[in-house]
Amino acid sequence: MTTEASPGPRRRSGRRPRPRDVAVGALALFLVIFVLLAVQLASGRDPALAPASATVGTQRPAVVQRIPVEPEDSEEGDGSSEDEDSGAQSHQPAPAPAPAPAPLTTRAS
Amino acid sequence: MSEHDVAFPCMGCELRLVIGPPDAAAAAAAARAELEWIDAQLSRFRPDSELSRLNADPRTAVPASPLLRAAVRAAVWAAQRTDGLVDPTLVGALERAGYARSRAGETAPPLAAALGEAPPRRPARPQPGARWRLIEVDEAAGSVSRPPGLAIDSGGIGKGLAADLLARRLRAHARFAVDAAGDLRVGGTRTAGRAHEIEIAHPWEKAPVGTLRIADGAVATSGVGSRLWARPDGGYGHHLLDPASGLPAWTGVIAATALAPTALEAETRAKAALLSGPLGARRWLAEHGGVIVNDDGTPEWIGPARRQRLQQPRPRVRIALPPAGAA
Repeated sequence: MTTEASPGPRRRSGRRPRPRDVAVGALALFLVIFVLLAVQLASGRDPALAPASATVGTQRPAVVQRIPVEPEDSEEGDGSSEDEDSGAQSHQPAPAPAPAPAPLTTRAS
Repeated sequence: MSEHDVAFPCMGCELRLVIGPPDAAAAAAAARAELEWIDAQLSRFRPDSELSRLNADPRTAVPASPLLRAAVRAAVWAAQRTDGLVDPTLVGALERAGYARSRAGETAPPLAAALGEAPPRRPARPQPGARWRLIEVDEAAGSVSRPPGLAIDSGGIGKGLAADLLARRLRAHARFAVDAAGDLRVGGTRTAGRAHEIEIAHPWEKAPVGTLRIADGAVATSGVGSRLWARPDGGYGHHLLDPASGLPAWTGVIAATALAPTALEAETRAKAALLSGPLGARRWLAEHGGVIVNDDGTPEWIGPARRQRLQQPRPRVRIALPPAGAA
């Protein structure tokens, strides 16, 4: 009986992590997350400013648009001769895009 | 979303309006007319402007329109806010420094040459007499009081005020931007997720210092390079004076950009930052953010502006200034 009872406590003590290991693991995890957040902040991607920063890399620098030509309206207007017009348009090169408007600029005045 | 974008000469510079629906074109036309009217009333260079007539009036208390009272109040507010560093009573010193006429359209000499000839850098200081404290606006009587002969200059404060007045008129539009020659006020009802992007021009480089994203607010830039001229004695003058000396201020900062809720405040902070030099500028720009450009062309981002910038500034090329006295 003593030989059967003794392995039980040994197995339990072998599986239970030592407090020191738990502390070291928690500290390591904390440091990893801390470093990740620090790198993210240093690169300008503050998670507290997520809505603003999320668009930083995707938006065009020019924000102002001049009055744009609305292609939907012009196509509707040509609908009476749909086949001819659409065929003719398909062979023509696409019109050059309108020049981008100058960005708003603050300068010494 | 269609926006009406129009630029036109006004206030000695090119002004620009970008207005979204509704009725963008009509709103832009009305806004332009208002800006031209403000210029006609507040220009120091027009003898028939209400400001010029006030400055020439021999009476102590002079009846003034609501616009002129607002402009004088704004100028006094800027002086109070900066303890006299932004002083509206330097008209005589400006004229003696060479700014007696509008220099609109004139080609400025190279800023590098002026920096090479400039005296040792030091922060500007308020005028000891603080004559701006003698100016009073009486709303009940509809008048402005000041000692006869004490001339008032609206200057950049007038541009900031104009941008703010226009913003009040345009606040119901989806988007709007009022560019009053360096003083910008932007806003609108549909700017969420699509903020205005504003480039900050470098004093001499083609590439901008950076780009800001602002949904609703103002940004203004004050600098020595735009109104710069060569004096007959071989030196250089510009329009930003040290109130204490009455001479052009050379502080180590050649341009300062300030963010603020209103264009008037942005203009005031930008000018105070430039006049205060690199160390003092940080204090003026800390609350709302801003950028200064030092004498060697290097920019420094300050306060919240660092979070609102879009682009990392590329490395700046330092210019080699000619030694003082060199031909």
